[in-house]
Amino acid sequence: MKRKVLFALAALLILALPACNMTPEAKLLAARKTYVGTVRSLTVLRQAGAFTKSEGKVLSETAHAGLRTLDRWEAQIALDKQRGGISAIAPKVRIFADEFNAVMRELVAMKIAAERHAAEHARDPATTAPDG
Amino acid sequence: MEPATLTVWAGVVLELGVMTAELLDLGRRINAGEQVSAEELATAKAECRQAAADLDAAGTHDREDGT
Repeated sequence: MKRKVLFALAALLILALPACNMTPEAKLLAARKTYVGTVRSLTVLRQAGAFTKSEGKVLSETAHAGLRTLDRWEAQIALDKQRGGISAIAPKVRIFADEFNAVMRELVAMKIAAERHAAEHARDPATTAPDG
Repeated sequence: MEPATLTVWAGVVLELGVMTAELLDLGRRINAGEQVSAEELATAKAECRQAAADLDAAGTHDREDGT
């Protein structure tokens, strides 16, 4: 229950931030901070053995896809600024923002699955060493 | 709950807490009319790369498939 509330709050925060009057750079910075926080929490889970080798492979690929999307997003902002048209930024940056959101959804889904596995593993008496 | 599991949960909650605090601070600064500096963007970019590298490095703890 607490976990659901935490994720709902994080989702609300992420959804609410673009509603502020933010520049493209500020939106990119918010996305980068979201990425770092999510990937770091996934790293904690991965260090605890929450993923199998094949899950870990997909996880790394997804994380690097997110990194590439963020870099392309940044490059697009710089390119559009060079061209001098702020009006031209919106549609292209929107594509990168949507792409990034898709990657983040995938990462969060993997995180939830790993947390569920960790919780089940903690409860499983077969995996718990007897006293002494 | 096992102490090891508690440590993992504490780590996850801590990272999410730091992220939430940073996002709230960013929102507050933007609403106050502050601009995002190029240095700040560069730092965030480096942090993203480091986070992805750390995630890859944690792959040594991956379990065998089917376990």
